[in-house]
Amino acid sequence: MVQQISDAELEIMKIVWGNPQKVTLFSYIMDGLAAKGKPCQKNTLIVLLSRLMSKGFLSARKIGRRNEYTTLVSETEYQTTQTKNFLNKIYEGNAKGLVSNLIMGDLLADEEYEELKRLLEKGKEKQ
Amino acid sequence: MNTVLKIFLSMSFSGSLLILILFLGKRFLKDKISRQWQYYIWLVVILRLLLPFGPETSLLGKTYQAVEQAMVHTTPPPQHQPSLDTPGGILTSAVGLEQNNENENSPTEDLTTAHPFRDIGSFLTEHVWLIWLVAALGLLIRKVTIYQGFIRYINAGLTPVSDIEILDRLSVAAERAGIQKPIDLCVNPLISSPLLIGFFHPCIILPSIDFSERDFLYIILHELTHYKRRDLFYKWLVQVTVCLHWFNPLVHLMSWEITKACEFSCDEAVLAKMGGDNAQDYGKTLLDAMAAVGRYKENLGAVTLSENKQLLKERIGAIMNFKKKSTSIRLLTGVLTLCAIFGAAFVGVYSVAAADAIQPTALQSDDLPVMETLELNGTTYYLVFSEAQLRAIGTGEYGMDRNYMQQADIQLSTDEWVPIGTWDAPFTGTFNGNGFEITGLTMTDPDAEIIGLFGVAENAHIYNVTLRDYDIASAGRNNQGKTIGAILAVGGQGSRSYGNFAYPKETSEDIYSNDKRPLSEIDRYYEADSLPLFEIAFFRLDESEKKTWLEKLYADGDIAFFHAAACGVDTNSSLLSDIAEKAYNDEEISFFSILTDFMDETELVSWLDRALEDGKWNFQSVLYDKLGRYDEFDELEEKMEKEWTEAQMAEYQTVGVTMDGKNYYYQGQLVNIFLDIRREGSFYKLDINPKGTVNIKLTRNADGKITGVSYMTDAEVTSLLGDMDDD
Repeated sequence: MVQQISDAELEIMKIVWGNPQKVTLFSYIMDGLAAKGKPCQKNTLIVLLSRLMSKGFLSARKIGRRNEYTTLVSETEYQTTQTKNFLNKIYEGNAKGLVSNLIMGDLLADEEYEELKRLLEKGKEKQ
Repeated sequence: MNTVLKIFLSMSFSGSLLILILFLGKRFLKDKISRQWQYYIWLVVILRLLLPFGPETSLLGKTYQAVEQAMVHTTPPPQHQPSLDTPGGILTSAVGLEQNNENENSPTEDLTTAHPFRDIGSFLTEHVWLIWLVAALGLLIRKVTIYQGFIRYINAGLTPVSDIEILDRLSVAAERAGIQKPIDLCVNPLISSPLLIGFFHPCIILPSIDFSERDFLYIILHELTHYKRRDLFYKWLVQVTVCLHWFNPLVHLMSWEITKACEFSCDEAVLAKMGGDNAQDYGKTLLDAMAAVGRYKENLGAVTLSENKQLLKERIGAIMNFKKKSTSIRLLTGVLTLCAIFGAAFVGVYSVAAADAIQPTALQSDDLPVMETLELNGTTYYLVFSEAQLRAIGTGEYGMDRNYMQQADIQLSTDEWVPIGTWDAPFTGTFNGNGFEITGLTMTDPDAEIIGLFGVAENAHIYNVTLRDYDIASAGRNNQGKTIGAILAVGGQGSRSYGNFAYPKETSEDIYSNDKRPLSEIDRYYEADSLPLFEIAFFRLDESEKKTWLEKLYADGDIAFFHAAACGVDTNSSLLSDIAEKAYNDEEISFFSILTDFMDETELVSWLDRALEDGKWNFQSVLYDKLGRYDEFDELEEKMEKEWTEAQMAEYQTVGVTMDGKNYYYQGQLVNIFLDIRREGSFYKLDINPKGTVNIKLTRNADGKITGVSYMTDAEVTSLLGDMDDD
């Protein structure tokens, strides 16, 4: 079961997920936050990282004096659980409601709509 | 009483003294001395309360011993207190000499155990340490579970602060405070005031995040200071101390005082960092934090910002008065610190030396004292520390044939001493007094036969024993055949007793001052076999010591020294006649003949009469010789010889050997070789008559009775006369 994380923690996770390397270094995250315009103190980041570790999102390997962080939860996994939660919470598990709301509310661009349609048909063929 | 508990009680007592002194000092110097000092000085007290170390001579070490003795001597019930009857038993203890009382092992206590009431009582006193330990453990476990419950309570409603801005503020403050470890920040609306938990993963918990930037900084700084100073560890150290000293109300008081001092000093440290100008703001923060009333009473194990309202008032007072301490005050606090530390050391615990001496005995059970052993050059020595152990020699595995080494001065109780070694089971091992003393040996049994530290010894070595204040004068007064020797009563074959000193109780005062030297000298001279010096030293001894020496020499069979010693005895003294009596009874003709040199005529005559009456002809001959009655002596000798020959003839006749003058006849034939050898080889008769025709020999049994006569074989004759033929 994937736990809930705070916004600050999600920011960090996004940086780690966005890293093409397998392992992420502390300074990489530090720089990533600064690039996003959300710089923070070293100790703050350490605290946040240790929270992420205790929540099972990250694991750390100490090599000398530096920590190498690896993700334990992939971005898709996280998104899936978050969507499920969202579905359950707002639409009581009714995906149709969500999709119709997306369409009706003009939340989708035309290309996105086409893309979605293709995805739906592909899913149908599979069944 | 249990030794560990005794030491612990003394620690508690010493600690209490220090606590009282600090409380008193606080009254006078409260605002003058740094709060930090007032906080940390308690560490000295805690160390005193927890560590059983102290210098050898401490103020209270002696007191504790004196108290202990007083207790030991008052505990036996009056009806079972023989020490009251014998003077000195109480006296020595009242003086407070260093002594190891082992009364619980003494027979006095054994008597009392017959009482069921006393039984329970002694059981309780002996196991009171168990009660103490169980209570201490119980309290500690309770504190830990309460703390765990509190942590669970806090964790239940915990929300980590995810506002990076706030976290950054904490990080900056921590960095400035010099804290390396990242500190987490959480919010829990259930708590009333900010607090810090976690030994290894520190976490500051706030009741809410709605603080002004300034308030937040103060609060954080306060908690960070707690963390930096490891106040949590201090707090738990205090808690452990309180659990162990649960019976001591002063320790509880101290714990409360430390909690207070902890916050005061923390405030001080924060203000020192912020600058005194911020005092008012800081005080206001404290008040705000206190606005919410505590919802969870117990804040044990966590360090909070505010503990209670009364304390808060004091704290705000202190904060407002905050000013940096001057150099002179710092100097003063330095001196005070040293005083407290030296005080703690000096107050001491139950004297370590005494405790060490007692330690081994603490292991022993009441029934059979356990003796430690020491391997020395392949010999096992049993170590004797206590009266119980000394009394155990000759029982169980501690046989009479073992080697014993005294390891401590032993104060004996006034219970009747049972000499080590009896006629049936003599002491045959070794006993090394090792220069330690045995004090207060008492024997009063009027029928005692053997009187002394050791009774009968054979092939034993008893040395370096110092016997002090012994009281054996009244023992054996109804017994004529008694044997007295302070150290060793009866030194049997091969036993040696040397390097020993014995000081009877009555004259102990004089002996300490005057006679110790001659005594040790004489022992040395005796060891060195120096007869003339021995004689001089002996002359300077007092009557009872001379007696001891005479008996000792007599027992050792040392005729030369005995003679020298006898010369040194006052002619009016009854010492020699006593010994003479003994020698006469023991048939020790050699000692007796020496003693006759010191007898006057009337004495000699009376002895002669006695010898005549008893038919002890060897004594008679000595006495005749001494009295110059040579005629009578010759007469006696003739008579004796005649008697002897007659007896012999009669004896020989029973087996068919007849005598006619110097000729022996056997079965009608003249005997050539007559051989009569007694079994022990002490006496033999060989008679050779060249005219004889037969060779005979007598055989005797173990009792010396003639059992038969036989002809000698040629081989026997050759072996007997082989040498003679060569001539």
